[in-house]
Amino acid sequence: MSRPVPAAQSVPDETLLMQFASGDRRAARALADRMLPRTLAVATRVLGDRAEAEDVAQEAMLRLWRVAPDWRTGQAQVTTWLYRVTMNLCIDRTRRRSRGSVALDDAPEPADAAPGAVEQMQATARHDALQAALLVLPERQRQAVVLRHLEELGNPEIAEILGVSVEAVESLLARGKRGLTAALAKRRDDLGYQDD
Amino acid sequence: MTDKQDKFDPLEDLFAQARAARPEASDPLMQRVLADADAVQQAAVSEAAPPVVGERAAARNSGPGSVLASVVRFDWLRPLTQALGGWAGMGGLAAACATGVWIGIAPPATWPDPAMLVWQDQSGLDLFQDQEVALIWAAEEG
Repeated sequence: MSRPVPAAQSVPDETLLMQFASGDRRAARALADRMLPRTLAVATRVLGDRAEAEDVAQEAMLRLWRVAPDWRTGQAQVTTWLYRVTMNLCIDRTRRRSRGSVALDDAPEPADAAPGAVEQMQATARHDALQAALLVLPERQRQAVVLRHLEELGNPEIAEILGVSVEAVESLLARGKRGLTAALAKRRDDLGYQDD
Repeated sequence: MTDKQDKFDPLEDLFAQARAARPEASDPLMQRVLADADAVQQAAVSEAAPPVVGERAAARNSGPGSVLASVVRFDWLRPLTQALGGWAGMGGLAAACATGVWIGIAPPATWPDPAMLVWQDQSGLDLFQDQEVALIWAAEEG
């Protein structure tokens, strides 16, 4: 994959979107380089399925391309708009598909392995355990936790994305973290977090 | 146990590891996304075309990239053409206007001439008014 155009890195998202609407193909590439990893990451965390997350990310980016000619300056941050579209697409997906989420206890256990591979396997096990615990959470809590703790967004932006108040975001985050802690409690030793 | 160890939060550690292992977009996905972008741009170009002859000549004369420049110039037309059903709708509207103008210039022989009807009506009214004035003058002159 070719690297992003260096000159485009300092251009604001909104300017790139307008350049795209004017027919600039390089603007499309620059926007895709910036936006696709973000939308793919949140969709993967929220859905827990890479293939579905790729479909959602592609659809979200398609909606961005389509909205470009009608984008009004200052109406919103492009990233905020894109996160909101992505979250709504994720909700549509989870409502359509059958409830086949991975139970926390079904997440892979750290297997016996040769010395040297243990850390890698433990990291994988921790990643899988967190993903499984996220999928146990109610959808809105999961979205809030992903946006706050994995995408590191501020609460006001999360509130705008989810269409709720900042106080509601704080509540979602608090309940989400409690849920995750409870879900991961019995895997604590397996994941290498011994109580001393 | 030290304070530092007491403050260690496994959940925060898991978050940090997950942030470090962010899912990357694959090349095929990036290519699909860019293909979508290209398709949307192409659709915008074909939606904005065809420009009028003068604009097309101006676009030809303004050098490389001039086709896209002409697309930008036609952005203001897009809402109007979309409201009227696109370029097909605009074509229908133009044909209807031309038909109306032609009927006005050369109406079918079986139709009454509206201009003539109006003229006759005004002529009758003028004659009546002239008679009224003549009678008033005759009465005044005795």
